[in-house]
Amino acid sequence: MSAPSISRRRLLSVPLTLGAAAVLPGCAVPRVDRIDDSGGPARLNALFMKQASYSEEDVRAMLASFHELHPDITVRPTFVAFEALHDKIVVSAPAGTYDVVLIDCTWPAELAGKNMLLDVTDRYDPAWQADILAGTLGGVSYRGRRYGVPWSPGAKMFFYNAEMIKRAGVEETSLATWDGVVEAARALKAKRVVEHPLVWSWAHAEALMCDYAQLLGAFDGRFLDENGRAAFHTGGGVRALEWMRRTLEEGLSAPSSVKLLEDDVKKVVCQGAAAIALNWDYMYAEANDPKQSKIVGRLKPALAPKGPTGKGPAANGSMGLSVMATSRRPDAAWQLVTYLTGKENQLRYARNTLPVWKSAYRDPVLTTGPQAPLVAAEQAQLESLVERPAVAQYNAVSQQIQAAVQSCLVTGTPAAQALAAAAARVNEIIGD
Amino acid sequence: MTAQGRNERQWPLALALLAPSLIVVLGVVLYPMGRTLVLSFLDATSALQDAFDFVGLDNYTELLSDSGFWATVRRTAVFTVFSTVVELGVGMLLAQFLNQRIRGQWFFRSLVVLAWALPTIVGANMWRWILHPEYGALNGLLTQAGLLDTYQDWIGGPQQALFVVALVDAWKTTPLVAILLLASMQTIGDDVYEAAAMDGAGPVRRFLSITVPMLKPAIAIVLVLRTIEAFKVFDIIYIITRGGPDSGTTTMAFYTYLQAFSNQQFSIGSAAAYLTVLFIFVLSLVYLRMLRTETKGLV
Amino acid sequence: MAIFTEATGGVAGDFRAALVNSLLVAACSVAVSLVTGVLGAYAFARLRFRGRGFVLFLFMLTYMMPPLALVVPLYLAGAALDLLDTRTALTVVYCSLTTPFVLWLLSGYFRALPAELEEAARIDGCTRVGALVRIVLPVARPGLISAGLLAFLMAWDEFFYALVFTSSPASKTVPVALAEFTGRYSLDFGQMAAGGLLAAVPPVLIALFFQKHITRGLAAGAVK
Repeated sequence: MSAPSISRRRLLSVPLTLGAAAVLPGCAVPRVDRIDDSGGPARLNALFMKQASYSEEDVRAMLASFHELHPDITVRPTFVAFEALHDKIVVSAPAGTYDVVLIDCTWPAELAGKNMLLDVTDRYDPAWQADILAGTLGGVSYRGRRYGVPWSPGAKMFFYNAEMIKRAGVEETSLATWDGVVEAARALKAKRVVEHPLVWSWAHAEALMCDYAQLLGAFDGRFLDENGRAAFHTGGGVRALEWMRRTLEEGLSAPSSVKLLEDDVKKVVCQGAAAIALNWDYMYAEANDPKQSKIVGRLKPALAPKGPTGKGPAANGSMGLSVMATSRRPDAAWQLVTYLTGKENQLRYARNTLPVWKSAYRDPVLTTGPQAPLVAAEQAQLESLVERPAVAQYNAVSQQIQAAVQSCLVTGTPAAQALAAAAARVNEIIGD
Repeated sequence: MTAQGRNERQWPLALALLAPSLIVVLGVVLYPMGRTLVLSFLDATSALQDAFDFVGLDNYTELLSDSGFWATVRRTAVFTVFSTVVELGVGMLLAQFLNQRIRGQWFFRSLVVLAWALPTIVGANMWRWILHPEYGALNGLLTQAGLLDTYQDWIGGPQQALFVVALVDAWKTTPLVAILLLASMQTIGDDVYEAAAMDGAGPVRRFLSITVPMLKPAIAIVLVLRTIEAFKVFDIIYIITRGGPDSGTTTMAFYTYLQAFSNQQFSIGSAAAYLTVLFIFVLSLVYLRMLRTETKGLV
Repeated sequence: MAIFTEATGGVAGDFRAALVNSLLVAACSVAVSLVTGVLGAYAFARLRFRGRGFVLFLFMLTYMMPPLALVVPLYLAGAALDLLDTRTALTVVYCSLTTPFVLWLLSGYFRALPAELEEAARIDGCTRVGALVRIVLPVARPGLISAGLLAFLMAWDEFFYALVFTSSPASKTVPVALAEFTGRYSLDFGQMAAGGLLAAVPPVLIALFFQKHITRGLAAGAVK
């Protein structure tokens, strides 16, 4: 009969099948975990993200070129919002829907810890280690094993409004340390260049974690000790938070910082209402867009300032491509990952997203053009990144730390006290 | 004929009438409900594993002895009571207004439907923007009107934020409540009001002594539905506050989400879901008992 | 704004596809839940039978379940049946959400209607189902329309299942398409607002179209 009758039968079969399944609610729907290594034609499903790093058009074009090279592998891409990416991976994992997924740098501990990602350590080419930007590798690793290849590197960069700095009579080189930044901010405030020279994304959100991680790194702190227990409530972790609190008390940091996210910080900076901020690289292009910015040509990217012990890491915001452990065609999936993350492919689209390969940064496409200053700064920064805690229950842990930092910044709880309480809860969560 | 005899006779017809909805509903949800119930007695911490240890009621006792969970329950109760009271109060007045015979009534009704039809995703994002501490419209408006000296962070404190998301939920569903009540009001004959008016009852009196009692079944339905929905509210919180600040807006639905999706504690999430159902069920029974005379047989 | 003018493909094309998906899924859900809901509601409103309380309990239980708790097993079932990323799967799930709701709403509505009307018809030789179709339904029109509209909006507005089950323009619905206007660090509020207004148009048109029926006060007339 015609097609509609089939689909109608299929429709009818749904409630019936589910009804039958309900008889045995304890049994999981059987998973097909047979691996097909015949090397025959493969159909892969790949999960990407909308509206950040490589655009949907870029990814589709990449996949088309991949298909030309590997006619026997067909890739069906799915694009979802960043917010939906994690949940989609978790929900689809048992069904084995996706072969290749895009992952954020805070997820390997959770996803690999739950055996969702394929361990690709042994598939790594020895030469990669030296050429991949060191900082980005942390975002695809867990307990010394690799669970993917970095694809879109990102560091929360240090930016300053060079024109304001000059007006305050401050040397740009003095911004190389956080002490220097505080002095510069005092000068900017004293000379009334700007009311609150510093602005941060310190709202109760992941953005706060990135900034705190960066300062914790600069002040030589650690999130976790070698036994995997909380360590941010001693030493550098406390000093970083006390430093944050002081800049607020002194009026150097905008009081609204505790309510802002990255996008808000971008707006404040582009309005010329602050001189110094941390943000992802996308702020640079928008600050130079006359339609959105009053500070065209004034924003400068630089290496993150250093703390007292000379460390100046930036928060890692890289993303990587992983093969799902439930993929039925892991070899074909790995071919796709290596193609997409490969230097040649990345260089072709380097105008939109930076490559993860150090050697690629010598290419004229990156050394020239309006983005060149940012590229140079970010390449250097990507060698020195700080990871947020690599624990399977990352979200829960992050929530606790955010709450502690906020309670110090907003209600004035002493830093050591707030962090100690959070550390106890974090240990409880990790201990589960 | 005895009552028993009538029951026997009507049974086949009732089954025939109910069969389609039973298939449509149970066909889809029975399996997942059973699976979730089973999970709540296991120790499932991964989506990929098949076999888990049976832990009996451990997940439930763990939740019930966790002060964090009870804080979640308390927040859910505050959210539910606050949003339901606002919805019912405003919805009743709105329905009464929409039931008036005035010129251009279609316009007001359309406005209400428009507010209701605006997707939650859009409404929630709109509120996030309105309430924004830096460039939110509310701050701008209130400072310009001289009602506010400095910009407020409307969702800055945990308690404040809970009331704000409850208000946004009420904003979203008040039109629905009004329309439900309006539909019910229209079943009240004009003659009832006319008779009361002739007896000298004023508009307020007529509203209290005719409209409200006649609407009791509808109010019962609204109360139960809104309670259930309020317990399940997820998207508004997901968009506006993500459960923060300081877990201030983590209601039971969001708690379930955090456990099951962010932490992959599927068993704890499942147990939390069934406890949610238990709470809603008890609450619904209380409501229905309270409004019993008019709704006999609803449960 | 780009949403209105852009040709196929890209944001605008995806959004238009989402509008069509949403319309189809919501319309099918309304049709199914109204038919099944009316029959079931009538049974609840007018018939006395054993197991009545239990069936009602089952419906209420399903309605009380947070979708979050059901989505993982449902996803597995959808994958096993090869129904992921299809409008069919969403329709099936939405029918299970809207049916108890419609049924419950209408059973209250039917009970509020005087039984004498039907009894008269049945004395005239009408069967129960005949009386339901010929006598009860015309009188219950405002209730049916409200219930249908509610079911429509429920399906139209549903976010979570759609987020999890759909992934391509073949089945993505409006709320999911709207959510994609939120970038990782930013929110395109212009697109969100334009898309939101556009998304509100179909339900508003439907409501406006049926409003006359509501305002005509059919039910009020019948009680006299």
